[in-house]
Amino acid sequence: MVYVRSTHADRDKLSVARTLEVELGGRAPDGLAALSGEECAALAGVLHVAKASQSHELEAAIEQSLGVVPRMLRGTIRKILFG
Amino acid sequence: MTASRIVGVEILKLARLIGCDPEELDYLEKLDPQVIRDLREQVTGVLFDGDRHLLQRIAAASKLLPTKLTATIGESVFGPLLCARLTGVLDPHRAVDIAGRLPSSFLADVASYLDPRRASRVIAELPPSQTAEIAKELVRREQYITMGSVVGHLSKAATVAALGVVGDEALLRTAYVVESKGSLGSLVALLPEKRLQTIIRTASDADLWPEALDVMDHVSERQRGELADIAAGQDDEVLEGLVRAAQRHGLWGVLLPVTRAMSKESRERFVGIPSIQTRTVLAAIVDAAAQESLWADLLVFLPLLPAPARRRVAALATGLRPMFGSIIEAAHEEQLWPALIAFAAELDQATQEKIAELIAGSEDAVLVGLVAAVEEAELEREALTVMSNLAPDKQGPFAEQIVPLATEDGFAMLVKAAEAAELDTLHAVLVSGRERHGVGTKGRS
Repeated sequence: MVYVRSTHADRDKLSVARTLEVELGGRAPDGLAALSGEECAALAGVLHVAKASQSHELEAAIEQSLGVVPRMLRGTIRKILFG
Repeated sequence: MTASRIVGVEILKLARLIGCDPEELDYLEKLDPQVIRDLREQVTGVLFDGDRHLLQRIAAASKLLPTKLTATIGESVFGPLLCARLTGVLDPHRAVDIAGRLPSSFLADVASYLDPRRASRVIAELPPSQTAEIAKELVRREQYITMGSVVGHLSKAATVAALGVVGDEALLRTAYVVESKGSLGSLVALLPEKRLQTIIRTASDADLWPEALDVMDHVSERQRGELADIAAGQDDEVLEGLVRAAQRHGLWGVLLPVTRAMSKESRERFVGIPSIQTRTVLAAIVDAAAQESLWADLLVFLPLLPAPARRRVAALATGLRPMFGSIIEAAHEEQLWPALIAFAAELDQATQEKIAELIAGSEDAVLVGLVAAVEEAELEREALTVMSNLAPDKQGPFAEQIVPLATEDGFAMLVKAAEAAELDTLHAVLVSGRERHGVGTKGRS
């Protein structure tokens, strides 16, 4: 039996690929295997920032819009939004 | 569209979705465009579905507010990106009402972040006049990718309204990056011939032949023919420009089928352009035909070339020997035997021998087509001259195969041609083939 020792680079690429899959919410397209570990990490990074900034902007917009809606509706709307 | 340009467009689309500079994604250039497209699909899902519950609650809460106030909050607080995400979860009628309260410039911003598939009904139900206003704004900003992403989702009335405000150059640039290339046919169908004429002239004036040819590549055969005839009807200078563009951008793989779609008169005019007959251009054409198996297109093109140009192609054809089987198949399937025989007759002896061997080794169905075509086009002499390059011991079996497939008249013509061309071996085997198998015994249906 032949044992193949995985190198640090292999393990790093595997762990980056997992991070990318987390950001993509599932298995990455097969063709992305052509990317280096560093490139996968960069891609995972921009995706993470995009998701986080969208959620952040959404929450900030909700807070700001609550200040604009008529006072008498604020409670009901808050309840719909946050349960 | 060339592969590198497709990749560039795909990276741009992905960068817009993620909200980063395209340069930040330069490392994706080595990927296949389809991989980047698949990645964008997946990222779209993650971004649109990641905050889906919250977006749905916002949509539900917005129902309590008057449309005008919702539009104001959308524009001044949420901004175009979040409004684009919200469009996918709002009731389409309400979304259209809200859009009606918003300025075109803001809606153009929203459009650039929209996932058209999630907002398809909203896009389709926008009033045509509003769609036209948004289109005008997007053209002003040169946001052709955004326009191209919604084309397939617009109603017919909205498409007509948008076509009325989008100039020829912007239309060509949009068509080039359109997401659903399948919708280009219905788009072209909405354009009157006069407009198609000006679009073709614009393609020439603004050096947008790659864009125009890409449209021709994605429409029906009939539409391709119409557009190609319009192009062929232009001045020589325009056609020279088309040849130069095909050469510069490596577009013969698209232009050759376009040439085939032309009417005979248009094709003759186009092929008669002097620059098409140079060795370099002919080599590029033969190359494109070889790379994309456009044999039928090449066979339609070749007979129209003047003799010196055909000889140049013949000189290039030795490099095609491994592909002769496919060329014969195309000649059979597309009933282009006369073009193949005429071309083969101009090749050197060794190449003719190779073709003759392949023909002799063909199935009966192929030979039936060959015999009928030769008889109809009266190409007996040319066909027999090519077949006389077969080794003498192979000429007998070939004659035995074709004699039963010929009609009495056709056989008489073959014998006469063999006699006139002094192809003694073929003449002898044809006559003995008749004695052994009879003429027309396998009858053609």
